[in-house]
Amino acid sequence: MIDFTLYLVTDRKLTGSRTLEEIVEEACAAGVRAVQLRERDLDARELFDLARRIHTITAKHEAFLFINDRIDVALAVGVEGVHLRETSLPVAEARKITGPDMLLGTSIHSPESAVTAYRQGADFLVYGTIFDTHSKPDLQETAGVQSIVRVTQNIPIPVFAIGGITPDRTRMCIEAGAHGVAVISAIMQSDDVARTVNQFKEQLVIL
Amino acid sequence: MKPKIGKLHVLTDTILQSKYTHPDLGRMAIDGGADTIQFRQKKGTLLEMYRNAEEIVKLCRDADVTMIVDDRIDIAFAVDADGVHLGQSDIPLTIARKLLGEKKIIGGSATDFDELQKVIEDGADYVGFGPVFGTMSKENPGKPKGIQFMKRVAERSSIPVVAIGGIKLEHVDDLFRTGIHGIAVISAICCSDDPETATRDFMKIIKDKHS
Repeated sequence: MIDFTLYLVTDRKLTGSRTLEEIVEEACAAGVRAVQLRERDLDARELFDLARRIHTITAKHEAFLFINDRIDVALAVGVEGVHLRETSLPVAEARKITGPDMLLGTSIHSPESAVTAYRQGADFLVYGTIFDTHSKPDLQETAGVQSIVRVTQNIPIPVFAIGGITPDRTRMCIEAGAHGVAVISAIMQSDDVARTVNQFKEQLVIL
Repeated sequence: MKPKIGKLHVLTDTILQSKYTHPDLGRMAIDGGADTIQFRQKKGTLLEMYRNAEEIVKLCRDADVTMIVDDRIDIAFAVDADGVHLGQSDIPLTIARKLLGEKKIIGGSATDFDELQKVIEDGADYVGFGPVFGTMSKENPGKPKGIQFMKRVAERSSIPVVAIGGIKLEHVDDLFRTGIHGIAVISAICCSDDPETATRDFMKIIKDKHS
């Protein structure tokens, strides 16, 4: 059951003078209920150590922690979920490894792959890149808000919009059919994480 | 019963050479008589690794060769490999054992006696010890130990020792005389013009003199 609408995705290189732990602590204290640890340059041991520290924080706040791509690290730490890229294992293969209880989120970039991921048993999807963003400079094409409609119309599982999402841009994503938003830089780089989280929450209140 | 830990571990590598793919190398090493393949893909996506591992595990099954996956326990699960090899920068051995259970092989890496002791205490089934010689296959591999040092390693270790690091054909006989269980080879096979023949040459010495 996906009962969160704000999905925080980490990038420890964006946190400036603060540690990732501090940002996650502040974000969860302000009400973030799901965090994806996405630190692709770390080796397995470094990721494992960091994930354990972050999981202590998320667990204290009863938030879910997802590990990007490394299913084995997710299992090793005992977190709540895995976040798959389109270049990770197919969802059905990942499910065999994680068992039925772990949550599986999947990044998708087209309506077709959304349907495939849903049919294979993904619990929720992350779709983007919606707006221009500095977190993924290698992906220059932005899909735009209207494309969310096509991705979400045929599938019953929650879809989160990602890519350049700010509080101001949140409502239009929801109106286009997104269940929630996935946020990297707006929170990682915020001078006041609690305030930014609250701004998102105001936009995400279901009317 | 656990699969057997072979005497000649061929580690697949596509960084030092790009002529052959991982499955190519696996197939040629198997055809040349290797008794263990360690699938070791350091670059690329999880999906690519999975597809490669899937192919190699099939080849290994058909030839009754042990298949070990380097670093990625999730791939070992996905293709039902015989085990994993975990270095000092991978998931800790004790945690890996909890995930994999007793039926899978877990190998650990050590470069000195302290690490050897820890690898044994943490429940590894074998230890990859080295580098015996200078090597290009690993960044910051540490100081080469030399063949005679491996005698002390073999004496001290209560689990099978697999020597690694720059091992060439001319070292094989002397290395096995130190009492080690096996050797792991990358460059001398993967970077050879003919990996199958190179594997066969290694295996012949092991079979003729040390089995």
